[in-house]
Amino acid sequence: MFDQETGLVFDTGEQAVTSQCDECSECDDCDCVDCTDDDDVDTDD
Amino acid sequence: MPSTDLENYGVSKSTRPSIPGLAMFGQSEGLTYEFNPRGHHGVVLITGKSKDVMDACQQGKSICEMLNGIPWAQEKPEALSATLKQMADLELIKLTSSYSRHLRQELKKAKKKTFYVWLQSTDSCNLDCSYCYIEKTPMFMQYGLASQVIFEAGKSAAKHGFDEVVVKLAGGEPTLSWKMLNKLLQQTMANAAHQGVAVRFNVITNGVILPQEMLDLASEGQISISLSLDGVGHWHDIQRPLKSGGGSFGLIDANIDRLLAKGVKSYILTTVTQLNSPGLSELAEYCIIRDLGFRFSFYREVASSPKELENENISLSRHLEECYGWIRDYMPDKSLYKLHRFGDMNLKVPKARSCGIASKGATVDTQGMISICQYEMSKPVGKVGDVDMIEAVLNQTLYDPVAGRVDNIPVCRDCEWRYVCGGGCPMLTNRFFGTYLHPSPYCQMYKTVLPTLVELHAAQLVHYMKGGEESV
Repeated sequence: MFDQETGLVFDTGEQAVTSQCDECSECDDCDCVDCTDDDDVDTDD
Repeated sequence: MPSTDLENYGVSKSTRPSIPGLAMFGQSEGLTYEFNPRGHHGVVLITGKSKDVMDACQQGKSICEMLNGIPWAQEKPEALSATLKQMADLELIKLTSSYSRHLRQELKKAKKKTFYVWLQSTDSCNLDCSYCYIEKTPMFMQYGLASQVIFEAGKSAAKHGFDEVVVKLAGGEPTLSWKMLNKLLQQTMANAAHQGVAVRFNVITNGVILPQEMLDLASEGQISISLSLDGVGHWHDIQRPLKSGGGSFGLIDANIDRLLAKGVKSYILTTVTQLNSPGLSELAEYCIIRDLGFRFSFYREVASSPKELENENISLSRHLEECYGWIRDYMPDKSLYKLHRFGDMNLKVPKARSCGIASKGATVDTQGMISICQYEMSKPVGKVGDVDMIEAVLNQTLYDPVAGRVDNIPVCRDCEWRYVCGGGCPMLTNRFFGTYLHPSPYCQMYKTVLPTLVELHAAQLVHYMKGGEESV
């Protein structure tokens, strides 16, 4: 979406982690298991 | 002035917003974009007010200095506050550690925990693909065992706090055991509650046979269908011939049409090898015209694989870049995040490992033996009925998903793309290099193609900005 107020343009779809998205069944449909939880990723806080 | 909402997280006029450590910036048609590999929003175009704020952030300015230095912020402080908040929510900038933690907690709340079961319904197949890693035997899973797998998976998932189980009906070719699978589906759907865990089914088929009941179940939304297609015509046929001889594309193409006529959009799975990579642009066109999602997976070598399939990183990168160039020139309205997947990667999903192997999935072979991946069925870790399925996966010693984190892999740990590829398939890496702690054999290709993929996503945002309809 294009937010005219802030000037930011971004994809508004659900995050493509399928299990939480009704419209996209990407991960379900792949022949792999879903990727790991993102909270495993180190933050740079 | 920061909004009350932000003040609750310690944001004040003296706060100096920072740029996330791995954030990458680029230009698409003169417009700035940012991609934060640790973020969950993919590529974002930064224009107008947000560009002014980003420039100030990059100069290390505080919110107070922004209020005094940006003309429109002086007139409308609430606009500055709204812009900062949206930029922080999209993880383009960081305000305070407290607000970053809040965002991560919100993301976590929305997540459903899914356990994936690959159900090897048969080892038989009606195709003779040269790259197939499944050892062909005349074995078929019996209904009683298949039913037990669903029961045990549900029981184990409930015990370990999963919300749902996704069962991938696979093989070999699962339509060869359709009679058994149809009975399994009917029985499982009739008995919807599995220890309180939802169960969903996906059929991974070569598409040569499409039983009418399977088509009906898909059109009713009871199952989803993934279909292996390696190219259009010749590009598919050279690596996926019928066992009886001849190409299989014509049969599959006809079945894709049957599915589409019923409103079923199958998801296309493509194995990319040196042989079919020149045909990827044509395949992308085929999928985009039909509004079919498609994923490129990269050939995984086994001992019996012929040499000519081996991917060579430089030519593979060139063919992928040609394909993404074609998509850029004929930019679809459908979100690229939904339309296409490059290997296991998704620009909206940062990850420390390539996939959920040894933590969120199990494979069960035709005899009920459990393994951590369909690529590793020769190394069982337990038997259905004898062990708790998830415990067997978690407690095995073949692969340690914690030790295998991309931050623990030499070279990878310093790579800016590490949270995008997650280090690549660890099983493939181990077969190539004898260790999991090594960059993927496809590492150079990833590093070459990922910037192109990021630029492609940015170009789609420019397309939306110019009036292209975003459709999901």
